[in-house]
This record gives sequence, C-alpha cells and structure tokens, in this order.
Amino acid sequence: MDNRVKTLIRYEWKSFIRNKFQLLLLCITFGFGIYGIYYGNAEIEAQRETIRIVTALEESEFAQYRASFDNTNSSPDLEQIHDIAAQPSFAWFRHGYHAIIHPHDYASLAIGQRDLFRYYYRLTGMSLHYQLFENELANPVNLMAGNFDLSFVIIYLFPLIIIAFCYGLFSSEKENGTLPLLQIQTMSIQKITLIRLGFYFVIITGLALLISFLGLLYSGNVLAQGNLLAALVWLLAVLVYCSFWFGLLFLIIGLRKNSAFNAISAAGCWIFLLIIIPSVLNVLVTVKYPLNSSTLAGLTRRTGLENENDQEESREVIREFLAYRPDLEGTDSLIQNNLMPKAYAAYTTLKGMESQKVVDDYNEQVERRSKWTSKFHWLSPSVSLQEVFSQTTETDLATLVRFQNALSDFHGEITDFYFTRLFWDKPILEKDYDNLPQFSMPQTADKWRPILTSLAGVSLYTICLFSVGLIQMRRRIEGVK
Amino acid sequence: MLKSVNLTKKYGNFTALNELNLSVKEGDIFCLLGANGAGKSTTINLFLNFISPSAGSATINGLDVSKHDKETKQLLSYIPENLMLYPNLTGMENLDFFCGLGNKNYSKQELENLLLQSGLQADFMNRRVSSYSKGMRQKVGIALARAREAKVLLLDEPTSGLDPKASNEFSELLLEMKGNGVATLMATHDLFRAKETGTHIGIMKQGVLIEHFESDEVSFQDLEKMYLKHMHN
Amino acid sequence: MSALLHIAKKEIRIAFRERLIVFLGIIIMVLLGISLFAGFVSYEQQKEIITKTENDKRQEWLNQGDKHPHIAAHYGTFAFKPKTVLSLFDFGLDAYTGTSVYLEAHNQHEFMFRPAQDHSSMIRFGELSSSLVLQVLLPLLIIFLSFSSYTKEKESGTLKLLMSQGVSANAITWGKILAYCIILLIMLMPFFVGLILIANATANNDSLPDVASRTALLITIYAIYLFLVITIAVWISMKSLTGRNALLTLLTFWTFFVILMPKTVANLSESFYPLPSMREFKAGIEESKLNGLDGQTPRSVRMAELETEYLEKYKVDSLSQLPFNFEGVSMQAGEDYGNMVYDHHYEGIRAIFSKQNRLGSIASIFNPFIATQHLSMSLSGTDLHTFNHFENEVEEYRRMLVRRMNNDMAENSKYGEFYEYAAGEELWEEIDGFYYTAPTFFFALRPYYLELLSLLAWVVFTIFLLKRSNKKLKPIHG
Repeated sequence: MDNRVKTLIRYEWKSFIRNKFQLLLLCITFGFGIYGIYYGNAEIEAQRETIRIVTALEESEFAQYRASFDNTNSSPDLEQIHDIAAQPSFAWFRHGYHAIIHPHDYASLAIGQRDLFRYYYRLTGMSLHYQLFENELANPVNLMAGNFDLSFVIIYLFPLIIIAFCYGLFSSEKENGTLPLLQIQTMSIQKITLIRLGFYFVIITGLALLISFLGLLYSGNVLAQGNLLAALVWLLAVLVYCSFWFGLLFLIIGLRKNSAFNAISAAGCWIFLLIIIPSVLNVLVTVKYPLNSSTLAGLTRRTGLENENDQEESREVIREFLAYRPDLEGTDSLIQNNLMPKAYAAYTTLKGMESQKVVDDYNEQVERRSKWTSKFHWLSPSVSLQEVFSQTTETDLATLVRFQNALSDFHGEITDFYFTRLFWDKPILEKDYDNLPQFSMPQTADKWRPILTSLAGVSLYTICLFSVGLIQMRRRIEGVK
Repeated sequence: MLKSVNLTKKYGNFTALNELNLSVKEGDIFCLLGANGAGKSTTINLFLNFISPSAGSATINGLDVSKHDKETKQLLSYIPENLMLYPNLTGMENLDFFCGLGNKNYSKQELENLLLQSGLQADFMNRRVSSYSKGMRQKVGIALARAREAKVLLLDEPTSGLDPKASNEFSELLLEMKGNGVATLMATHDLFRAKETGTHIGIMKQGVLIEHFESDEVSFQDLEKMYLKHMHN
Repeated sequence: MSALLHIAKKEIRIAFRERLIVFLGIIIMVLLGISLFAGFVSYEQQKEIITKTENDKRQEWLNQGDKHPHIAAHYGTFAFKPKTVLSLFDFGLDAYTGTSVYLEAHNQHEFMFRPAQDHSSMIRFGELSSSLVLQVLLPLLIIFLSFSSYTKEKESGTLKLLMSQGVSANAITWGKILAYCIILLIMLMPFFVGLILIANATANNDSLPDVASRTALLITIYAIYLFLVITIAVWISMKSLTGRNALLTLLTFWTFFVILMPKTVANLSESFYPLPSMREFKAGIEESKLNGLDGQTPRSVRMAELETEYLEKYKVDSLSQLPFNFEGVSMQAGEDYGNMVYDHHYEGIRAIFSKQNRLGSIASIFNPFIATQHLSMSLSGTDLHTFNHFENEVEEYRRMLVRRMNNDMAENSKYGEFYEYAAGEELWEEIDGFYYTAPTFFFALRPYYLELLSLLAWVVFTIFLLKRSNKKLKPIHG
C-alpha cells in the first residue's frame, strides 16, 4: 500500500478512536442491533409456542379418535367419541385440521407483516369462509408502533450512523482551516476524501455485517437447507444498502458545501426515502384503490337451510351440489340416509363456492394494490430493502396471501376426505387415520428473482451516485483551480 | 468617563488581568498595547460586562458595569477585531436593525447619510454584507457608533488586517469622534497608529499595565524601543 | 419589548432569504395539502361504503322473511366501524383496528379485517396524514430553521455586537422564538383554516360529537407541541459551541424521541405484558361456559337450577305448564351466562391492553412527541379508547337484539315446539339499526390526563431552562 494512504488511514483511525462521541454512537447502535435480534426472536418464539400448542391439541384430538377404535370396554362417553371418529356425518364438521405457516428460521430478523396476519387456522369441513377471517389478538397501538427487529435497525438506524460519521468529512476541513494544507499534498483531495470515506465504510458496514451475522447465527443454523442462501442474500442486502448510503453521502460531500448544508441535505434524504415516499405511496394507494372489506364480512354470516324440516328442500340442495360433484353421486337411496348432514354439507359447500367469487374478487383488488405499489418501490431503496428482507425471511404480503390461498385447497382436501365417505355412506376406518389430509405450504418457484432484481436496482443507484459524485468533485476542483 | 479600579480577572490559577487602574476621559483615545494574551481584550470584555471581574470594578460614567448593565450599554459602542454582521442582510438593513435595537429610529435618508459619512460607498449600501470587505464592515460599525451617539467607544484591534488606506480612513473617523467628546478605549498592535491617533498609551504585559503615559510625551522611536524592551524580557 | 420585536423581524427576514429553508417549508406545505386532500377523499370513500353496506345489511335483516326468532338471532347482522371526520387529520389506529363484526346469538365475534392487512409491508413505514407531517416532519423543519439561531451569532461574533448594544439575552432568545412561531403560523394558517372548514362542513351526520371543540383543542395541542420543539431547539443552539454540534444534538434527540422511543416502549410493553393467543382465549371461554366460571358448575347443573327456580316461582310441576315458553327463558339465561363469561375473559384482555398502553402514557411524561400523538388520536377519535367504546356499544346492541329475540320466543311460542312458530317483519323492525356516536370531548380526554400534564410540564420546564440559561448567557466564555 502507498505510504501516504497508510498515513492517512493511521491518522483517521487515531481521530476515530479519540472521538468518544462517535464510539458511543457505534456502541449504542450495536446495542440496538442486539436488542432487535432479541426482540424478533422473542416475538417469533411466541408464535412457535402457539404453533406447538395448537399442534399438540390437534394431535391429542386425533389420538383420541384413533384410540376409540380398539376400545372394547365401552362407556357412553367413549361411544360418543367413537361416533365422532368413525361416522362421517359427525366427523366432517367436528374434525379440525391446522393449517400452519411455520416461520422461516430468519423471520425473527424481519417480522414483516407476520404479526398482522394469522399464521395458523383450524379448519373443518364447514364453510371455509366462516372460519377464515378471525384475527389474532393484538394491541392495535403496538401494531401501529411496529416491530423493533433487526431489519428496522439496519434500514432506519444505519443510514443515520453513516450520516453522522461522514457529513463533515470534507466540509470540516474547510471550516477548521486545514483544507489548504491538504490541498497542497501530492495526493488529490478527491482521493483523500474517497479513502476516508472508505475507512468509515469498512467500519460501519463491518458493524452492520457483524450484527447481521450474529443475528443469523442466533436465529437458526446458517448451514441448514433454505438458510444458507437466505443468510447470504441478507448479508449481500446489508452490503448493498450501506453502499447506497455511502454513495449518497459521497455525492453530498462532493458538492463541497458547508457542514450544516451537508447534514441538512443528508437528513433530508433520509426523511424523504424513509418517511415521505412510503407514506405518500401508502396514502395514495389507499385512495386510488379503496377496498371494501365489508363485502367479505357478509360471508361470515352463519346461514342454514330455509326450513330444516322440509325434506324436499334438503334433497334439492343435495342434488344441486351433486351437479357440481358428479363423482360423489350414488343411488337415490344414498340420499335418503343421513339426509340432514348431507344437506347441510351440500349447503355449506355451495355457499363456499358462491363466497369464493367474492373472496377472489377481493384478493384481486389487494393484488392490484400491491402491484401498483411495487411499481414504485424503486423510488426508495429503503422500501425496496424492507421488501427484500421480508421476502427473504418469508414474512412478506405475497407469502402470507399464498398461505391464505393454499387454505382453500387444503379445505378442498378435507371436504373430499369426508364427503366421499359421507355421501357414499361409508364409515371412517381406523386405517383411514393413516391418510388424513395434511397441509403443505406451496413453495414459490421464483423466490429469489424479485429479491435479486431489487438488489440490482439499489446497486445501480449506488453506482450512479458514486459516478456523479466523482464527476462532481472533479469538476468542482477544476473550477477552484 | 471610563474608569477601572483594581480590576482583576482570574481563570483558576491564571491571572489574566491584575489590579488594573486606568481612566479615560471625554475626548481621550486610550490605546492599549501588548503582546497576544497580555490582557487587552480581557480589559475590553470587562468593560462590556461580557465577563465578570474577580475583583475590583469597571465603571462607565460612574456606573459599575456589572451592576448597571443596561444603562452603561446605552452609552457605549463596540467594534470587535473582525466585525461580522448578518451576511444575509444589506449594510443598510444591518444598521437599521442595530439602531432599532437601541431604540433609535432613523429615516432611510439619515441612515444613508450615516453610512456615507462613515465612508461607505453608496453603491454598496444595498448589497448583502456577505460581499463586503473587512474595511467596509468596520465602516458600518463606525456608522453604528455614530448613530447610537455613543459616549464611549470600545475597540478591540479594529485595524488589524485593514489595508493602509482603510486604516487611515478609520483613524480619521476616530479623530472626528474624539472631537465630539467621545471617550475611546482601543486595544491594538499598531504602534504607529497608536502614536498617531491616541491621546494616551498604555503597555500591558502578563495582565499588568506596566507603562502608562500621554502620547505627546514620547516620540515614535522611543515608543518602539520601549515596547520592544518590554517584550524581550 | 421593542428590541424583542426587532430581533424577531430580523430573524424572519433572514429565514426567508435562506433558500434551503424556504424550499423545505414549501415541501411541508405541499405535503400538508396532499395529506388533507387524501385524508378527506379517503374519509368520504369509506363513509360512502359504510353507509351503503349498513343500509344493505339493514335491509337484509328486515327482509329475512318469517322465521323463528332464535334463527333470526343467529342470522344476526353486522356492525361497521365508521370513520370519524377528524380521521382525515389523524388516521390513528384506523389501519390496525378491525373494521367489521358479525353479531349473532351465543357468540361474541372479534372484529375482522384490519386495513393494514391489505397492504404490503410498506404500510409499516406509516401513512401520510396531516398529523404525521405536524408530529414528525415539521419538528425537523424547525430544527433546520433554528439549530444555528445562536451558534451563528456566536461563530460570526454578532452576538457580541448585539450584547454590546445592551440587548438582554432574554430579548434575543424570545425574539428568535417569536420569529419562528410567526413563520410557522404563516405556514400553517392555510392548513388549519382548511381543516376547520372541511371538518365543520362535513361534521353533521358524523359519529364524532363536539367536532368544533375537538378541532380547537387539537390546534392548541399542536401549537404547544411545536412551541416546545422551537424552545428546545433554540435552547440547544444556545448551549452549543458550533452549529454542527447543535444540529447533530438536535437530530439525535429527534431520532430518539420520534423514531426509537415510541417503538421501544411499545415493544417492551409487549414483552412485559404478553397477550394470550386467540386460540387460548377462545378455549378459556369455552371451558368457562362448559364448567362454569368457578370450574365447578357445569351447564347441566346451571340449567337444572334454573328449572327448579322457575318451577318453584310459578308453583307448577312441569315446564310446559309455565305461562310462557321456558326455552326462551333458558336460552336467554344461557346467553346471560355466556355474556358474563365473555366479559370476564375479555376484561382480562382489555386489562393487558391497558397495562401495555399505560407504559406508553408514562413514557409520554418524558417524551412530548408521544404525548402529542396520544392526544391527537384521542381528539380525532382514532385511539384505542374510542375503539373500545365502539366495541362496547356494539356488544350492547348485540345483547339487546338477542334478548328481544329470546323474549319474543318466550312470549309467543310453546314449550317443546320450535319450527311451529315464526316471527315476521314487525319483530325485525322493533330492532333499531345500529348507529354509533363516539364519546364526548371530556370522556375522550379523561384517560389522557398524564399526556396533558406532560405537555404542560414540558412548557414550564423549557421556559425555566431558557430563563436560567438566559441569565448565564455571555457572548464569550469565562
């Protein structure tokens, strides 16, 4: 390395070490990072705990059913359980299956929308939409305040640290009167500024990567399948984001204005990218695509047959249902048996099909909204990064909507399982319990493509900022000469 | 008009000014000479009540400055070494602003005259002060002193960094004010200027006024010798 | 006094000559305009949707045809959270509280559909509302405007000149503060006039009472808040050696008070007082309904007790001899018990909420931003207390509806029969539609006395600070 560069770095290090305020700032940031990791993990651990509880409840429910088959000494209670276990006319609306979206190991680092959405549902064969719209308990005040997770620390706090460290790199020389001394060196002032910027880049980005690395280690096995790539992308995203802010600072410093101007413009950019752009987009999308969730509310109404005593009406409903499901059709005599449960099953399924249209329509509107906003994510690298983080940790809206959509497939599986037995008057056998419906979360084929596109976009920004900064600085220096 | 009795200022163990006794009468120009850190500025700041004395007193027109801040301020005008005005306001606006603070309201014409009499070129009056040279800013300072009809003028190295012509003009303005009976206390490094304009000269060293005489008593050569002698030992 | 005015005039003149400040000021005004417009449009949209849906649901209820009252009680109806007119100023919790609820017999349903669920994670950056501009962005403008108010005078030496004129530190400080207040007043005047006009033009027919006094107090609260920001900024400038230091200190304070502290407090409250999951909550209710709140009186025992009570009271041998349908009575008794159980469990949840939010109130003593945020939401009718009040009213309405259905069944149907009896539209019409009125001005403010106190205490505190520092102010050190 050039001796001059070494000297420069050595003295930058000395003044860095002697500045207690800056050291304190870094320590505080580190502390917030650790707290963010802790908080996110506590939050996600609570979700895991709930998942464990509901899974255990489901297991014990089904264990009870299974046990009722080989019970020889029967009591009225056990007989009732056996009825629920073996007779589809009870089982179809009593057996509850949990559809769960398990948190990604790194969900604790970017909680995203996961605290707002249900992450587990207990589904029976009854009308899907009657079971779908219940919220998880949550304090709205805290929902609004949002989560202090690692992604927050990186997206909000690190840019501020970068600003605090770098805004005066050039201007303070001017203000302290040391600039002329630097200008008469053989090394160009622009190179000096770049080297010092590089110095802080290493320190601050290093800190961000260190905290991220600790978070990744603490939250899951980095080498586990599905984690390694996510971990790498996370670190890459941190690197890209920090570079972006350094690029921005370089550009601002390059304007060669005074410290106050630099600080105001850098803070102004921060406000613009982190508060103004997203909040304006949010309010615009609300106004542009007003959503009317009250149409969905109507779906939750519990309705039944007009007159449960009217057998003809019941048969009518069953026939209507069978027209959609000819595979379930049997003889007329099959309809006569267990008329009420069949009619009720047919009715709720028909209603579900009806409702599905409304739900699809609504989801389409949500989709349109999120498409519209994602068109503008590029306006703010901070918004892009937030999205990248939550996509990486699978806590983004798209994943949660995919989960919601997967519910209707799963519900279809459940109803198939019971309806084939219900409509053909076949009991549920013990061996059927080996083949119960099971929920699986569909994986998306191109999880990484949008993430990499966003990162490429932010990188492009960074390159532009640095290039303009360089040209700017050169021009200004020539102007001085 | 200006009088100090055993005026002392200590910063911890360091004595910046030690038992200073001096008095400046109407029409006097008292020049304080001395190296950097000899206590010249401390003396001026004490008269301005910017700092409080550790012992002794500074009075203006018989009023103790630390007890009668308002009243004594009304009598004085002050020009620091590097007079800075509000760069975003014009010379005219600066003058108007500071006059207004002293409850002296002048018409535009009067302000213009004040500036002209103080030697500011007419075409600069309505430009922002950020484009002024140091000499021009000092002229606004003088105009302000006139406008306030100050009886006392406190100057802290007002001519350092001025070119000879500007310096000359400044001296003439001082003499003019002297004629109006203004008492002036000026800290300066400029022996020549002190001898030319000053009526009294004092030499300070390490917080002590070691020499004190009327400027007519010595020739410029003697003054220079005396000064250098003190500075060397 | 006149020196003070003079200084104020000079500060204003200089501020208007700073291009960066003027530029930022214009941006803030544009944002205020956008927020007011967007808030208004969104309010009108939601209001229209809700009014229409409410009418639809009302018609559905009235035209549900002849049926047994208990089936009607299950058919039920819906309640929708109306947007308050001042929500156009402060969205508050609107995106995070549920918007609609299904009202039926036996079950208390939870509110569904938090609007934030229909947004990508970008919603967590916040939605642009006038309150956001005033609470978050305007303080920054104030910081940019006034961080150098004293340091510039110190750095350039004009402070010496000023003080050599006999101007008191008091006059300088308050002159500057007055100047910034006037600048803000000029900026905000059109906005507040717009707000008052819109709020009063649309106030009738709204669920929010006392709109005029609410608006007046809102403006006062924000005036106090912004005044505080100004005084603190000037104080820090006075205490700082250089403009850089003042700016850095102020930005650090801003970040801490506005960004970090509110989030940290909310998150800590969540850790200190954890909420149960919905599943546990529901399971708790089911358990209490089945085995009684004390865990020892199962439903069958409760029913038997009720039967004996009625048989003894009317001195008859069998239930069918009662002059009314006992099933209606037992149904209502079950309903009452269910309500009691629900109240018991839901009170538990509410207690956790209020313990969590209590931390926020306590934090507001140290942070005027939080105090202002809470008061603003409360006055706009978008806070948790107003939402709870709405929930209570809805639940009250549901209970009234179910009771009327059960009473009708007891009066008009026979014991042991069910489908034989059907009520019709006259009965449905006896149930009025649900119309919500938010709590009055004083009721809305009552839970926020700490916040109000905090703001007043801060004003006294900063004035005291300034007074003390003014006394000490010298243009040079020593």
